[in-house]
Amino acid sequence: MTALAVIDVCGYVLPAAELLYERAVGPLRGHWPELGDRLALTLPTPGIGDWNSCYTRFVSNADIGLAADGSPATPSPLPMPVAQRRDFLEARILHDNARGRLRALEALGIDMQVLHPASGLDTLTDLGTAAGALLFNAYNSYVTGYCEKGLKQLKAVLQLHPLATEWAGSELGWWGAHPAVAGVTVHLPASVPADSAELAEVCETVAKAGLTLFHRAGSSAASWTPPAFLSFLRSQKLPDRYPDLTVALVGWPEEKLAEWAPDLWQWPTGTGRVLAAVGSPHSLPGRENAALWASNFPFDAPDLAERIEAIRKTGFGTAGAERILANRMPASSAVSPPVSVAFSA
Amino acid sequence: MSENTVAPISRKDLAALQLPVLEASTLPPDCYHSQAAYDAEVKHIFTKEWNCVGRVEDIPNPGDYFTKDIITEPVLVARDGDGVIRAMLNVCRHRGCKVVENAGTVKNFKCPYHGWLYALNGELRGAPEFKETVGFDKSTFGLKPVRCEIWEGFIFVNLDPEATSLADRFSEVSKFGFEAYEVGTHINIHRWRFELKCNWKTYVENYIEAYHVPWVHAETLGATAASLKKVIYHPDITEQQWDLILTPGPSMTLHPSHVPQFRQAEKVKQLPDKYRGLPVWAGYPGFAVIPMLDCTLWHTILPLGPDTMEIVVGIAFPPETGKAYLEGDEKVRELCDAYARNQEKIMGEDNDICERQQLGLKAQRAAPGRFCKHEILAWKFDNWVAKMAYDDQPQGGGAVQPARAAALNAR
Ligand code: FES
Ligand SMILES: [Fe+2]
Repeated sequence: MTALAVIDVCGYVLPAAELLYERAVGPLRGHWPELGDRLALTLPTPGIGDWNSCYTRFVSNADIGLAADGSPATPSPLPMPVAQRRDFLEARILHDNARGRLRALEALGIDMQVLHPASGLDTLTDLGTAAGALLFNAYNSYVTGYCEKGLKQLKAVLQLHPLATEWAGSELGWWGAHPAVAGVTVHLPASVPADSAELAEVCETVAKAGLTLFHRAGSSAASWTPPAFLSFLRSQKLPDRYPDLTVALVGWPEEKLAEWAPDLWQWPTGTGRVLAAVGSPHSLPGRENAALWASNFPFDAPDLAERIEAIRKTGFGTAGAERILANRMPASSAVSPPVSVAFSA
Repeated sequence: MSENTVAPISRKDLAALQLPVLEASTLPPDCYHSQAAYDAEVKHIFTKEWNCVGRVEDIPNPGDYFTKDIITEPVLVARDGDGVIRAMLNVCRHRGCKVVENAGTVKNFKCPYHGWLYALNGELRGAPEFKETVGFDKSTFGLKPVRCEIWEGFIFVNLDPEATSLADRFSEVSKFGFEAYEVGTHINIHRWRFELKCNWKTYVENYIEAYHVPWVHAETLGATAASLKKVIYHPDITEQQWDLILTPGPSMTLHPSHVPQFRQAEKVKQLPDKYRGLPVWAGYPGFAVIPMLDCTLWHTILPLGPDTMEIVVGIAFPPETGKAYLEGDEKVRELCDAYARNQEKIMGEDNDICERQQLGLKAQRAAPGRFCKHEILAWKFDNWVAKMAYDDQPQGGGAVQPARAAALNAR
């Protein structure tokens, strides 16, 4: 029996803020101190591929509020969706040890993994459009660089700020054609209204580029449920105007997906469609052809090994993942990075 | 260097210094202002020995740091997120810029030149635009670590990676009752820094002899020549790098009323008689700590040049007092400030006398003097400096002989 490819559309990286700083364009580096209030000194969490000594990360204002008086550190451990600690995981696979991740994926039997940012970036959409856009740009530079260590196994999801319309274009011009890119997430904080013209423009930029939209729970406010987002896209007639447009739902609870089911799958007939990532072959009964498989590694459930076994046997989610990976921006559309950008935090 | 010369001191002068204390001559005045002596001391002492740079309570929280230049070597001391205090060379590994200044609280150290970003433990975390640089491995470009040890709340650094540990050098201190004072728990509340126009050795000699006290501190310490009789020097107490001078009796407080205003450590009362009193512990090259009944006084000395030096003096109180002071308790503040004002007067007297001594030492015809019995530790210290820094021909017999000191105490 030939082993079917195990394609995981949801693994996480959690880059230390230092790594974003390093990848940031000049204006953001120079203005880094202004972002300092949102950085928390963080003690590493063992067994999840974290850094092996203290590092900084962006956290929500609420988490900053928990810090002890006079201390730049938030209480440790920060809320982290840790399902299981594995002491064999190499340090820093969440940060900059891509080769360590490749070894871990091989040991686990995952052939390809699409990477998303764990908490950190999600807290930043309240920073202001310019700072937010620059930080997402730094992340995009970081994550594509991370994936370059194993382009066959590692894929990146670019992150866009919902209100930075001009940035969306230059960002995709800059990174969209990178061989690691599997799609784009547009962040959806509560402050973005349900009829936002800017959001429509940003989403259209993604659709035009032919890239998959990853609608991820962690980057969406409570109001921006999959039905809300899909209906927004429909209201903008994006699926009609871009029949290839594919939306991948990632990180949404399976019982919620079941509840929303009637609203989820109505999509104009084209090659585009709505796909949903779930954890096991039994999670999306009757909708197997709309399924993607998500491990959530390294924040996965304890029975990951069995799940992988089942995925390999059934090929569950592979077809959906392949269609996402086929959505590509032609390399010829890449542009050179912007030389200077305005900053206002 | 001629055959008969041990630079920067002549063999004759060195031999005279190495005689038993009551037969010996003092270090020649040249050694207090010549560039050769200074260079030798920097090379063989200050970049090789443990220097105290501050107290742990100076950096109580994660991200707190301070900087300190040990002569030419910029050092950075920081508390990491996990509470560990570390010292590093404050020199960027990119192109050598000094990374941070003064003191403060940060989450990272950022070089002001091209923005390299270091973690609190010195690891290089961000090197912008270095992705393409061939064979560049960030993990090998962290800030250079500097040896750092904590002793009784004091932070010591040593620029010599090969140096033996401070703990090994101070291990015997506890045998002589130091721990009873609970200095490690004290909280520093006042600190003074002076740049003085004198050679660092004048100041060290000053605090290890009580001979000057009745004259220099007649008013402030109420001392008389008679009280000198009581002072006991302990030149043979240890082979380790520290000395003890003890004025037996009920010890003292720095409060101007001479009555302690704060809690006294219980264990001090249980010390054997021979260690009860006012002790001055002098750790070479430039550290001294004087635990008193209800406070601790400490000094650190560093040369700034052949005839200039820096002294930092601190006064620390038992934790509850220190805490109340920092929280702004007015009564405690008033009392502690009275201690500090009193200390300022005493320090002023020592500062003035050392600068005045330097003026004389610079005279062309100034010549070596002699020691009296109260100056045995000054003699021992001068011999230590000569042995460490000047005597690069060991066969010349530069070592301090403890036996000689013992002979003196027997007189
Ligand atoms: S010298 Fe420090 S970054 Fe260039
Ligand atoms: Fe004095």
